[in-house]
Amino acid sequence: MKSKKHKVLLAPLDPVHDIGLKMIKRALDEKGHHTILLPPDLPPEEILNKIHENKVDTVLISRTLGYGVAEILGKFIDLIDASGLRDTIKIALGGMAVTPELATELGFDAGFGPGTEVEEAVAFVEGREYKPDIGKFVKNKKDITQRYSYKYTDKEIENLLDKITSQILEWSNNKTSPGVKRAELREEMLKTSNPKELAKLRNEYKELCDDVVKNFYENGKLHSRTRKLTKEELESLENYVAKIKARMKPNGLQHIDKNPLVFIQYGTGCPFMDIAHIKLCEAWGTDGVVHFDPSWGARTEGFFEGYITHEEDGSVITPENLLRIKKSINENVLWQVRAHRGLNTPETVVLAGNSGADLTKINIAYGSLGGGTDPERLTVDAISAIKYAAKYNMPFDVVTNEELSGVPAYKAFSGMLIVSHLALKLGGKPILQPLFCYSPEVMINGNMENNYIDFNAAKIFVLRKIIDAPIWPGAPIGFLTHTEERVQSSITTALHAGLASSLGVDAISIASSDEAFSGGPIAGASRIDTLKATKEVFRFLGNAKITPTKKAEEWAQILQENIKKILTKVAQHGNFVSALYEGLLGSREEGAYPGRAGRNTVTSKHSY
Amino acid sequence: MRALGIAGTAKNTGKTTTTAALIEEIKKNSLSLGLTSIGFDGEEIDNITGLPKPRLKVKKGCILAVAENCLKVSSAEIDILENSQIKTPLGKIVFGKVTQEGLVVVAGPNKSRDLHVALDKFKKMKCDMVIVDGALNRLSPMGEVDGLIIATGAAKTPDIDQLVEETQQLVKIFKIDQSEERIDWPNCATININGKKTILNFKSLIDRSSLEEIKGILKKGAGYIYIPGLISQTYFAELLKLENIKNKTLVCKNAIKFLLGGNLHEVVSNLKQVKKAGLNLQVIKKIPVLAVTINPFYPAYRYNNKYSAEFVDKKVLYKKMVQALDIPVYNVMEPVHKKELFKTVFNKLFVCN
Repeated sequence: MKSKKHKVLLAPLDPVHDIGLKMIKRALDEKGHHTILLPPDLPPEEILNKIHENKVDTVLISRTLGYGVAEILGKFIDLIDASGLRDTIKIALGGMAVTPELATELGFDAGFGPGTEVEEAVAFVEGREYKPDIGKFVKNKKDITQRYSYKYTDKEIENLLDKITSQILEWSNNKTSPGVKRAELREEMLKTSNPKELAKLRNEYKELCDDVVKNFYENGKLHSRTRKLTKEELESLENYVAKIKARMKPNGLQHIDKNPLVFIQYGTGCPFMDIAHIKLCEAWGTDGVVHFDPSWGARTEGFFEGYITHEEDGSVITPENLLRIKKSINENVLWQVRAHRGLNTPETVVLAGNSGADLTKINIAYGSLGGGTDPERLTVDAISAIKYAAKYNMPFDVVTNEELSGVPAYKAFSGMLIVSHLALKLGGKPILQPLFCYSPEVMINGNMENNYIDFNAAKIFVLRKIIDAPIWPGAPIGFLTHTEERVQSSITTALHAGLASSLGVDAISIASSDEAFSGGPIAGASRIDTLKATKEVFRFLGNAKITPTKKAEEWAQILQENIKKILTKVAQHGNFVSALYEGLLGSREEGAYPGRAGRNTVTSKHSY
Repeated sequence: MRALGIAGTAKNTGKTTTTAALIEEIKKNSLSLGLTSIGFDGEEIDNITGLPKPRLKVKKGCILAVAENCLKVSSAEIDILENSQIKTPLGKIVFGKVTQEGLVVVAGPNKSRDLHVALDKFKKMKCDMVIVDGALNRLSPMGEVDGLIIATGAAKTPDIDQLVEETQQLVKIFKIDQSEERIDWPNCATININGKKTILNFKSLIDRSSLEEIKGILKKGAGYIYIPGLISQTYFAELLKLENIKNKTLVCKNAIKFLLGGNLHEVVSNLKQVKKAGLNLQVIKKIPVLAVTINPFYPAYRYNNKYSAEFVDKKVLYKKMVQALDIPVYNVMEPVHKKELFKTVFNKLFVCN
């Protein structure tokens, strides 16, 4: 059926601003409607005459609101109403500060404020209900590992990694730990609905926990800085989430398909507050959210249960807390629960998998050199954790945060590549996570004296030279370039995002503009700062690229050579765990200290 | 049923305060009330000036005609009685009955035809009285009501003498006589001279060609010119100068159609010429101004796009307004005046009719 062609009068009541109307006119013309664009600033009576003379059926008025303007617009509508033309035309108002409420007050049929899509005005003219462009606004969960073959270009490195990981698997054979055992018990606890069976499992579980956790299972006592969420708080949380979900119109940050996914990190300590942060970031366009747990959680054997709140530096992982958070997250937003560094690594993956997380995070080298966990223990636990990640189909990133302690990138990358290769052998889907940061290494060596681009680009270049794998710089990008100034922090985050996008990476993690210096809870507005700034940089660059200088290639070359050297040393050393203790992947002089948590807890499987 | 319109001469002249005062008194007098608005009223903060505004408190039993989205933000409990097809930017108009008192945001039908439909519905729902709250200085849809309260105040102009004079002129325009003719008036301009009727090709006198059309037909003799739409004061001034205008009656739908055709000064100046030209001016529907309410408040504009609250001398304003007008004047901020206002409105709408 041929659609009706409309006769539309476009009248700028404004002395100058008529760009919006011109854009709408072009769209209407393209669709075959008859349009008449009046010159700006005609008196209302004259516009009325034009409506009358041209027998139009739709009128679009643009006017920026200012002092006394509402009266002019109201009078204009009155004229149209009194002349009898109001019954034969549809009339809409567009301009800065225009809202549907104002349009109602002034007597228009519709009001279009800033951010209105041209299509919205066209739909109004054609009498259609406006449906935002689905592809543009509805987020789709992306599996960023999907398009990668994990094939090595650098065969020498592949062979070295093969050798090292075989050594690791051989070494670990027959080894287990309380963490591995707890993960197995937790999986059974989650499966069973038999209370007797559950009590029996819980009894076994608590025996594998530190006293503070054991005390909880035996006497109901919580960790000193935590408390349970009350019934009222939980009800209120549910209402809050329902209300927000009903109101929320999710935004997109990407301007082109190639822009990376953007993740934010949360961990206020309070699940309620975390959810508020998640919802805020979802509204402003985040693609994914990362769960941060408290540092004592990583150093304590065993997890608590129940809805627990009020820790200071991260939200306590319990089955209930995770499920509650998952329930609140938009179904199209990715959720990562970190498992990388502590004594509960395998169990965290089990809980994450059972709570519906999309991603997790595992790295032996960082966890044991910068995260405080004993290398032997974490190696055993990480192998178990990787297997669970594969089982629950959760890709995980392999973070290189030891760089922040002072470990040079090539050593951190060597560790990352070892764990990633191990993951591939165990059926996992690793994501490489180089840091986009102003690390101690670059400060000392001056690699960022001229710009922040070349060394970060070199990191991506070298990884691409080695393997075809997904890359997710973090965490957060621009780390240590941020200051206490919100504008500065937003800009530096956004520029790093622009660089990451320009280098074609798959995802990035961003900080809020007050994250590094908040000294306490992060403000919602600061989250919006960096999300908006990132969006603007994506918009600014489009398909254009940031071009690194030739230094980037040179450094990539050097990094590759150094990675080979390190991997050769580790392979020759013959034992990955011992290599960690001895500083081959980051020494004490460089700031890497093998962790002590969980030392001497690895046992032979037969001892259980 | 009687429909009462509350029309403001500008924003912040006290429309909502007047409406709120009446709601209270109507409830005390056990009348069933219908409430709607031709714009958007009852918001906490004024849409334009950003200053706080009174929100409307409605009592149990009141029937509302408001846009769907208003229900979401109102604290009163409202049972929906009927959905309508009347569209506004805030959703379709629904009719609802207040089951538990609370605050409401009232955005109703914002054009004449839609208000007409809504008033018919109110009638069927057996409301005794319907208040149609105004919006800004918009008047046109008020052609549908049975009586008007004009809410004016320093927000229109803080110059008291000027304000009084303008109000006096405005009230005068609404006094244009009602036509005695009892015929079905057409929807087009019509001329009837010496019994010969000609239908013209326009509704409103807003352009030269329409004036020329009248000029071409106008002959000596008695008769009327009927214009259902808007009457531009520019062309009305020229009409008064036409050769054969003498002994004719110009009939318009209501005074608002005449009033909106130009600024108040033009309207007043043209009215002075009517008699001299030998023309008789009449309306089909007279909308009586039942009372004038005054508000000494005005938002003073500051350079940085902000407004501050200021006041003129309320006693002086009241005194001068009373002296100038032959209809009751009330300051609805005064409790005694609230009662008086209701009595006046009730008597004029129900008893005198």
